[in-house]
Amino acid sequence: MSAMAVEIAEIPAALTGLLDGRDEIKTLASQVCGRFRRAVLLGGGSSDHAATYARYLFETELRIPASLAAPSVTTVYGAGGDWSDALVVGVSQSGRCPDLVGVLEEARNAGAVTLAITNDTRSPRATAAHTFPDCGAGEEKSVPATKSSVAELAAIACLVSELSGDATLASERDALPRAIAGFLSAADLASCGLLASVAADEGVPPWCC
Amino acid sequence: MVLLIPGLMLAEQTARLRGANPDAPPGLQKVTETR
Repeated sequence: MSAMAVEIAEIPAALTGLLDGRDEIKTLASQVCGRFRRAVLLGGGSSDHAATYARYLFETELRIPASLAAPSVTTVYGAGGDWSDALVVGVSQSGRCPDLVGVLEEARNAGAVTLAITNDTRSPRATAAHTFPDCGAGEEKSVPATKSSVAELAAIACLVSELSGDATLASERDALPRAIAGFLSAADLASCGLLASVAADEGVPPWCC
Repeated sequence: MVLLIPGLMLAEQTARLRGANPDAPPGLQKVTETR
């Protein structure tokens, strides 16, 4: 079995670990609630997709404007702006991307509430932020991001559900580990295998599926 | 979020069926330090 398959199977446990820390996330949400009027998200690679997901959640659930940051504005052009009413959320599995650490530090120094969602709480990015939840997905050996990426999405859902106080969103969030475990145990692997064989025959790169 | 799972499984199985290593797609490297 590939490491990727093992790590996919570990997703429910990763999410359970994340949700076990929901009290910490609730405290975090109470600390930052009411201290911002807009959100700025940043992330690279698969974390950029998670940042986009966060943008939609912030805008639909919290009804505040949210945007994705362009790190080079800070790190290359040195064009710092007014961050005083912003919540800046950095999403990174490693927490070590220099560009994103730089933006978090710049934003924090300019008055933003900064938050890092990372899978390594000892990372520079984590220390660049005021507070943060730990995704808790553990080490990921496979090149394609699986459990760490889903854990990032779940961490964002946790944060927004606590900020919004939306009981439905919280309920759906809490049901995630069981729902995913249920899918994994009942997945129609034959159908999945058939689709995979078609994709393989057609020469579709696996990461395009 | 649950709907991501079949996509991940499909990608993993497609790579294996093509004789590739799902853990290390050709041309890609682990970029843990920068993502």
